[in-house]
Amino acid sequence: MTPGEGRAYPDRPIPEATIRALPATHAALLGSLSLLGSGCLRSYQPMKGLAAPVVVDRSQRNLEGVELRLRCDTPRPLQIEDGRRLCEQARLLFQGQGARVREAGQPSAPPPELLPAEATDAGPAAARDEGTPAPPSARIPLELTLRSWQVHEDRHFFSWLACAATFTLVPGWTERTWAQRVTVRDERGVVLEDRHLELRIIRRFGVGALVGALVDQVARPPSRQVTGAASDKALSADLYDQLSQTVFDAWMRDRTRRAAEAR
Amino acid sequence: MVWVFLAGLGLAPILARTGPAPTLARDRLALRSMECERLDLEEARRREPGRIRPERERGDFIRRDALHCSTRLLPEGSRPPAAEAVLTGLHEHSQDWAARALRAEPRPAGRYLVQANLEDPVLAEKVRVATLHALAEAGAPVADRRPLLQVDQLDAVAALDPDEGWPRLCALWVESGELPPETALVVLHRRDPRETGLHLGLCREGGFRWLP
Repeated sequence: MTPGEGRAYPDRPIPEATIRALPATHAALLGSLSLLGSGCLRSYQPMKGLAAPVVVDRSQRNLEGVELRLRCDTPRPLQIEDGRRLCEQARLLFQGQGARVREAGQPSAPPPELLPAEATDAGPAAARDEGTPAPPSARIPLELTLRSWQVHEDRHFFSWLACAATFTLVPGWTERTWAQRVTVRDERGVVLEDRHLELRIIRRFGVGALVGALVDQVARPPSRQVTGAASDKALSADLYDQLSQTVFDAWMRDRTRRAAEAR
Repeated sequence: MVWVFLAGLGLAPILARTGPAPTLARDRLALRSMECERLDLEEARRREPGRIRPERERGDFIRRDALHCSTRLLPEGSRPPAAEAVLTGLHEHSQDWAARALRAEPRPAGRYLVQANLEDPVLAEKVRVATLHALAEAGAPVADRRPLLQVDQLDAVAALDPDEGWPRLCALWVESGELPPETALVVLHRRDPRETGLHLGLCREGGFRWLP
């Protein structure tokens, strides 16, 4: 076999333009592949108050006898829609625990004297005498105010530079920190409980993030995972647990306050 | 191209310096064992003097803030949540209880005793001792003893609602001489096993009242 046999163009040199174009072609190919293989992943981190101990079991009817007035205050930049959704979820949460919930702005329940005796828990006699403390069976009015706002946002510009330079091997990421103020007042406006919660949401993008998430999903039990659906569930669970505990503690504090005033 | 790639990789350790975050090295349990708060620089300097680099004379050109994190003494799950809720911040809580008890009456008592009523007797004792210490630190005369009661009396009182039981107990202790005049009893009570807070009450000269 003579040299060059078996090859189509053994002696033809590769054009210089092609050589120059090769790294760019490879980069474009690699970039496309990494974009195809990468994903945007969200992780939740409890920052302040959200990992505080919770004793109350929110699947139980803990708030039987409470009338909760729900007020949701959602200033910008949190989207109003998110605030409404949170308010709706909170309403369902407390209704499930036996509380009678109405949102601020909704018409109040008619005065007890206008209702038939069996329609009220305490009967009209209790409503007539405002000076006497409510009997144990009467609904205890509490007002819950939820106020959410964004504390911090960082787009981590250098991480996106690194992400682009490494074909998304190093993840690009952004983070936002949210605060949630939970305040419970009695019917006179006295603050019974006031808690400040903070959480951080981190979004990562790239092949590196995807590999990290895969390892997280495979190597860790769901209770320890920090990405994916487990992370979203953890956020909901923490928030609902803290809301439930705050309202329950406020109710107990209100009972003590009423007992103190009754003496 | 290779240099750009390596430079990108080189940025990774710098990017990792963003405070504790959910990563492969830090799972959910580790994150829940930390309490973090984002602070402005002024507040961060106040809390951690000397650790925050001062602003350059011509400004930093970027907005800086601080992420302040502290790790819990014991990881989550080491103690029952009800105990954890009481013991976390017990020092600050006991100081608050002591201050409120001392503020409650214009005329200070000659001696203060403390009684904690919780389901767990070990936990109750920790709360009692911490409150005694806080009272002593505030300058109040304290005695490390608890008023005693006959078993039948105790059973009768235990069956009552706390709003009725504590006044009854208080009267019984004063009648029996367990609580001499000029002695005040600071009461810490958990109304319901599902709550995380404790309620403060004061028994003095046969009268009991809650201190909301």
